[in-house]
Amino acid sequence: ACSNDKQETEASGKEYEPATIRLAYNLPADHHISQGVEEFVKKIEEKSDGQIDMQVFANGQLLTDKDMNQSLLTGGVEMGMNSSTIWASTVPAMGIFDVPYAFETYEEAGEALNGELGNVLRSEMEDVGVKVLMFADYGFGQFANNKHPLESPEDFKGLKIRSVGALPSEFIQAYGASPVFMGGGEVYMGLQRKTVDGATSGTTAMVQRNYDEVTDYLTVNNYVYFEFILGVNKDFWDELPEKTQNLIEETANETEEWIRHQTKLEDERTLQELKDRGMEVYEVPEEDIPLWKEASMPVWESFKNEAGDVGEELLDMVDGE
Amino acid sequence: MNKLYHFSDLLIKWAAYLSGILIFITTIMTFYEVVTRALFGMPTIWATELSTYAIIGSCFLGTAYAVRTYAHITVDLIVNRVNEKARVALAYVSNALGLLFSIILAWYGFHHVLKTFELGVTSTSLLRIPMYLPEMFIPIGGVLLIIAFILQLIDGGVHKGGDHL
Amino acid sequence: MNLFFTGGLAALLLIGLPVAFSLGLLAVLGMYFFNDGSFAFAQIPIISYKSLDDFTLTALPMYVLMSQILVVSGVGRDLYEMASRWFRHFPGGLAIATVFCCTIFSAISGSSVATAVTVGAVALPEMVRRGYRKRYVLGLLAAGGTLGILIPPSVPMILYGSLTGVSVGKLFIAGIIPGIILTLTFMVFSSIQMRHIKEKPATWAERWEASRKAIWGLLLPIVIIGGIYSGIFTPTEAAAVGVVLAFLIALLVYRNLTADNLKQIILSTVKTNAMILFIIIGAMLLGFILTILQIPQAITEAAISLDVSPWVIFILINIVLLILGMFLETISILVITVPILYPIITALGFDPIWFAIIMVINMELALISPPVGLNLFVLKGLDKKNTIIEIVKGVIPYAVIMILFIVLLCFFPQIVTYLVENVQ
Ligand code: NA
Ligand code: NA
Repeated sequence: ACSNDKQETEASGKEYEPATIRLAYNLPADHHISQGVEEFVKKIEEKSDGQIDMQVFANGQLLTDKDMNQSLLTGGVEMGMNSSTIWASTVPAMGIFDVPYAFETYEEAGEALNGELGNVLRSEMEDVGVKVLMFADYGFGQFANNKHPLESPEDFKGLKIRSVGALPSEFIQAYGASPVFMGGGEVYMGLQRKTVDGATSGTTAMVQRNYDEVTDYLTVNNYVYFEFILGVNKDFWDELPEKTQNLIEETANETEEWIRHQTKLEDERTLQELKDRGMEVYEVPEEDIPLWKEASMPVWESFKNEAGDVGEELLDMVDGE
Repeated sequence: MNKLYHFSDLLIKWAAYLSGILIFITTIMTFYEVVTRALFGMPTIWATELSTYAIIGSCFLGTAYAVRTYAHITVDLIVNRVNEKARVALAYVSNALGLLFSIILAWYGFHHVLKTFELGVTSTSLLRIPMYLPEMFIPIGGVLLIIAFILQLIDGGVHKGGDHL
Repeated sequence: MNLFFTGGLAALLLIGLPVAFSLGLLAVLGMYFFNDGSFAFAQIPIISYKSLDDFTLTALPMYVLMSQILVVSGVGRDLYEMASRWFRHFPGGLAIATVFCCTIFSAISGSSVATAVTVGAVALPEMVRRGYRKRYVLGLLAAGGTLGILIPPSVPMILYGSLTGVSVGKLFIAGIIPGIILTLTFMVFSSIQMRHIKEKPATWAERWEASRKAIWGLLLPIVIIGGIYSGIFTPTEAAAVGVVLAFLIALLVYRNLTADNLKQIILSTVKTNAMILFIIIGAMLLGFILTILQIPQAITEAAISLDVSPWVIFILINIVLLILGMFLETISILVITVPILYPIITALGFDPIWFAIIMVINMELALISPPVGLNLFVLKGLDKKNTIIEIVKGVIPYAVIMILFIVLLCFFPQIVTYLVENVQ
């Protein structure tokens, strides 16, 4: 957004054409992405002086992550936010976020998404009919388990780990463990009763779901950078006046930066919290990361197969630096 | 005409058997998952996912049969207290409304499947199942429902469904 | 708009359109009139699919199948006969036996519908045959079935935990004492209500004989509860283990699984399964359009925006839940209201685990309150001659007991919190 747009939005909000926008997502209210989304919504309503009416359906009231793609594509809701893993089933290039060690720091991810990589993903999404407004960082993925500390990829051998999504499951397989598929509501009990040995998620979710009560060991290997996508139905978007588009895009960019900043803080805070709650934490030292990355190469291959030329292009970008 | 009527009912019944078989298969897959995971430490990557599809299928394949056998729950407060003529009239109205819903379900279901097919959407799991396959149960179930409600309308207000099936 | 939905639902139900299609068609009409038609219509297949796209739901048809095998083979009859020989000399002895069986199956399954299906299929014909008044029996079974979600494992508790971050393990523990108290209350009440039937006590020989015969049936809950609590399988998978065991027992011990029996088992399972799942689809479609029109949110927010004491708000919340419970199924209610209510409840200083149990009892009420109550429908589905009105009349005293139980929990929150605070 250039400075010219900014001056316009600072003028009276009354000039905005009235619009109603429904936004659905499925994250709990106290998650930092939710806070970002709520702030995004509030700002748009304020700046447009209430002309743009944002109706928010949080916490999966309306749609779960799985249903979001198709509902967004058919205009059931105008805006929707869900995980990139789900988008990968419709737009294979979005699987880049599930490629192990594609992004190794918050800054690196931010730069890539603000640069060429972000543009490629945006255009892939626009091809199916969704405009990406925001890449909302969820945070790094880790492993919790109740068997033993995982200090090298070999330690994964023989474990049964609850998994969601194709590429994360292939990651688990690449390390010699077995992915287990069970309903989201059964994971806590599954870990408690040792039906599964472990699960993978961000530390923010582990704190929220009290994983510390049912698992003993946490491995911080930052193997994947979970991403959520705020998208808008493209047909709906194209009908909006430019002024409204500018306001929404600008606000989305501000929010995206805020969330990225917050993600780092939240990952650190929740990691500390899990330590405080008594989990035994192993943080993979930086010099070991190449080893962990090497062992995950089958997943890179699999992503290449799924996403084709675009996939190869994206992998070159993340591996280029 | 008569032949078509009987064939339609037969079709609905075959679908019902298929629905039952899907429930059996779900049981076997889930049990197999428990055994391989608990006894041999080797969970499958397919049991949970395929079970979900099978159960979705069991509902859509079985629902027309439930219509024909009057197994769908109805509130009989008024229906049981009016005279025969009114009862027949109510049966026509409610079956016509059921038909309307079924047509909408089948029509939009079909377009949904088409769109999923064009987009090439797969499941988010390791199996990467093309999603139009399990979604196909929706228009199929819709069409079976359309047939069932048309048969109900042909029957008029008389309960011909049920026991003869 | 509210009038359109309540009046529309009443009209569709009363002209005799099945519940599932009434809910679905009303959702379609709502989309057409209030949510610019075709856009919304494209959501119908998406929501229909989503309604069933949940692995935990696979347990439901399997429990239906298990109950059919138990009924047709006679395993269920023997199990029930055993309970009746031990309890029948008490006033209303079979009612006690029925609640006893409900409790066992509640501890097996996370779902009230599954509990009502399994016990109802055996107990209903048996109690009616022995002269129990049908209305009382129907009420008892509909209410007894609801224990399925209060006694752990419980799907609504899992959902509450995932929506709020409250520990599911603690919620399960919190459900134990309230579950036992409500079970005992049901036993006592039904025994008093049906006190006129008192059979002569079975001799010890008869009791042991029935127990020996029922040993295979008794094995079932033991294996399932044992399997769940030792972690060999999840509550969902337990249903499959139950079916396989029931099947093996019928095949090898009872030896009465003929081709005709099998056909009967399949077709009645298919009917009940499609009936329940299609109601879930209808309820989810209606839930979608109501949510997008923000009706439940508006009702909830209106109730809690009043400037009154916390307890008045608490009472209003319960009234809202009761009303929503009449029209929506439990999963929709939880998903819609918990994110709104949870921050308010905690801000008002109520204990979130205690409130979860209050919510679950409200969900039990939702299962037995007309016009949309899954347990009512399940019992109607067991025998076409049952009428919803008769079931509702039978269930009223139990609904009163549940409401009184909520009041009791308000005065004695320790009933919920004691075990949570004292068990690790
Ligand atoms: Na239970
Ligand atoms: Na109800």
